[in-house]
Amino acid sequence: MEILRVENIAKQYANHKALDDISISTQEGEIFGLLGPNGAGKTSLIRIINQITGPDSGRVLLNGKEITREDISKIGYLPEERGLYKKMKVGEQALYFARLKGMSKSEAKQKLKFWFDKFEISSWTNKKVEELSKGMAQKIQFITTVLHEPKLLILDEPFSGFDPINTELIKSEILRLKENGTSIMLSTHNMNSVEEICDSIALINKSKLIVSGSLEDVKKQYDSDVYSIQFKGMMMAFANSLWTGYDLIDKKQLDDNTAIAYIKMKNGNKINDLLKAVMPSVEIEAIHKVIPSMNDIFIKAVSGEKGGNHE
Amino acid sequence: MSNLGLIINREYSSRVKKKSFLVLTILVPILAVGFMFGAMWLTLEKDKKVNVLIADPSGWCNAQIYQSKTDNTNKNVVFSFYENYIDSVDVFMNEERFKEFDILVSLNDKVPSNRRVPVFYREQPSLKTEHYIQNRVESRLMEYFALKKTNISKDQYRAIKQPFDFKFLDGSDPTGEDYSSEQSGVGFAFAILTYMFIFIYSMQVMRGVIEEKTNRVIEILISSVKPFQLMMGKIIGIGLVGLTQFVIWLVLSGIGMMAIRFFIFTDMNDPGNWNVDAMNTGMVETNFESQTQSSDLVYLFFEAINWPLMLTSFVIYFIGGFLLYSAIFAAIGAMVDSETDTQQLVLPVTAPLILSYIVASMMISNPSSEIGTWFSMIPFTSPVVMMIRIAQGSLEGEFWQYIVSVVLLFGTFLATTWLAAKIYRIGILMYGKKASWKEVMKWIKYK
Repeated sequence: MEILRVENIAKQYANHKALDDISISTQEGEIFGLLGPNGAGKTSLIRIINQITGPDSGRVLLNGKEITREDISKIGYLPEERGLYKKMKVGEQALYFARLKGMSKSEAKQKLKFWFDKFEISSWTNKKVEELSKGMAQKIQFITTVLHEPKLLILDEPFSGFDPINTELIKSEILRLKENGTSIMLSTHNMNSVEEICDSIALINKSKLIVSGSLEDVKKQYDSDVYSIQFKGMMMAFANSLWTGYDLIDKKQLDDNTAIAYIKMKNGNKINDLLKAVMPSVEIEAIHKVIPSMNDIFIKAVSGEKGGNHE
Repeated sequence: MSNLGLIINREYSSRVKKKSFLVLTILVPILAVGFMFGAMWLTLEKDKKVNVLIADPSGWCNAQIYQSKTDNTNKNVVFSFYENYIDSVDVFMNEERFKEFDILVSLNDKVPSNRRVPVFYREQPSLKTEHYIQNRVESRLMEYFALKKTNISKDQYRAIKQPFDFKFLDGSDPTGEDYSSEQSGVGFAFAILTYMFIFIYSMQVMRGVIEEKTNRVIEILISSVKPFQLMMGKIIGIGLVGLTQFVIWLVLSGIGMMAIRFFIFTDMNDPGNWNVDAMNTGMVETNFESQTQSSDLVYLFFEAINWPLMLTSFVIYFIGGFLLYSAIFAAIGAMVDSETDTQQLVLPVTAPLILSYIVASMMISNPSSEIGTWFSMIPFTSPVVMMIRIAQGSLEGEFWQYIVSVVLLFGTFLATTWLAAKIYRIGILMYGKKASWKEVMKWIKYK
């Protein structure tokens, strides 16, 4: 079921168009990745969804109804530009944000204890934020975002500033929240985590939507028909046997007698044709279809070219 | 608790709990009162026994000092006379026979012409003792020369010497005492207090906004609460901190004034103790000048000022003025990216405040000026200027001006808050540079 729908959103700032006719849709219980280079308009879109700013045109629907200010408490929002009061104690501060989200004092305290124990940060409760490292502060910010158990989480760059261990911790928490039925929209530059956790994505560049859909569909869309063949034998012999039906687009020498070649099919040739062509010259060890990584797709989509390449 | 309540609570308690607030609010007045108390105590109580030697070779004093009919002498000061020259001060300081004397009054033969009386001390006497010595010796000399050079009797001379008491009275209330200059002083003190409170606490609002903006906590807040709630919560919370400080100061100074009244001016509470008595007996009592002043102070503090009106007005005008200015300062905070950018925006806003301070100081000497009347009603200056008018009592019969002033002040506060909220709402999410006026005008027009 669709939880969030963004219809034809446009937003113009003084001299620059931040969003140009953006429409996206996210399903309940999925993790939706909002991708795009810096300045593409992701944060503007997220702010519009959160009712922090209004769009010039278009609308945002939550569960099929146009979103209102009152719906905001159902959303957990972790902004990209996030901060905490430096002079305030960690516990007090988390409690304050929780209560602003409408939780009662006792409920908030109870939930905070749960999360603080879980993240093993209970000992920080009476420390001031200025005594914490950036990563520590970000844990607190994450907790205050999810504390009130919102149905929809919007996380703007949730992994930025975390070390690998904490990135894994946050990632596993996001996946756990998903299992519990929370719908999540996240924006990130971390393409590995997109591959790991996102169900579908939307890619915005220069205020326009370029690609959107399930991760699988997007990858298919960017499938470039490239295979990697690992073989024993001479690269020269291998290349000569390809003739005109294939492009050797890259190669990698593993040791004196072993190499990997990246081949793009031409003229409707299939994998069997390729094997037939090269088998007489070399001894094949493995062959894989090269699936475009999100990183590739991102770079390609942003730089404007479609079609295949490999890592 | 509503979100607004939560924000007010945070703004208030995070400031009140700060050490600097406690120090400023509680320690400073205690120190100030303690210092005043101590200073008064020292000048009034430091009356050791003093032996005064009057070197009077010409015998002008005739071995007497001036004595009034009622025995009003200072028993701590004992006068002795030496009917010869003391050649130099070194002789007095060093010779064994003068060791018992603390002070030497040297009436040399040049005194009648150059009228300079050198007085040497071993250890500086209190101000009160100095006055007493001067008064007694001077009066005696005056009397001596008057009686010697003229034919009038001693009693006639004393009658002439009695000072005229000029009283400036309000024509419409001729029985009352005139304390207008003291009232102006108190009014000006309150004007400055209002000015400082408005300025300091409005600046705190601005700093709070900038803090939330620069450390980006604003993004988290704004996803839970409306910008208007956030702005008003901050303004109200900080305003309450100001009122708290004022109430604490009020209580402390109340205690301090009571203490001064009962410990230091104990013998002066009864007006019968002072100059009235002296008038009736025809005495010339100039050395009690300082004490009479103190009594005036007591009267001023406890009688001449309409304290309930004064304090209520302070609260009203602080609230009104603070709300008015803090809304503007909140907008400025939202327009800039760091505190260093605020300077040129703050200056034009504080100009009316500074102007009101100037007008207030001008009104000390000219209480019923027309400019004062106008500025006491114009919202941006009224909080400061009206305070001095209230203290001066120049509002009597023109109380409608007070009403107009308050209504205008709160009306303008609503208008500035409305405008400030529009700027604030957009400005808090704009990072990176200071907004230009053109941009700000656009923000105001945004839906």
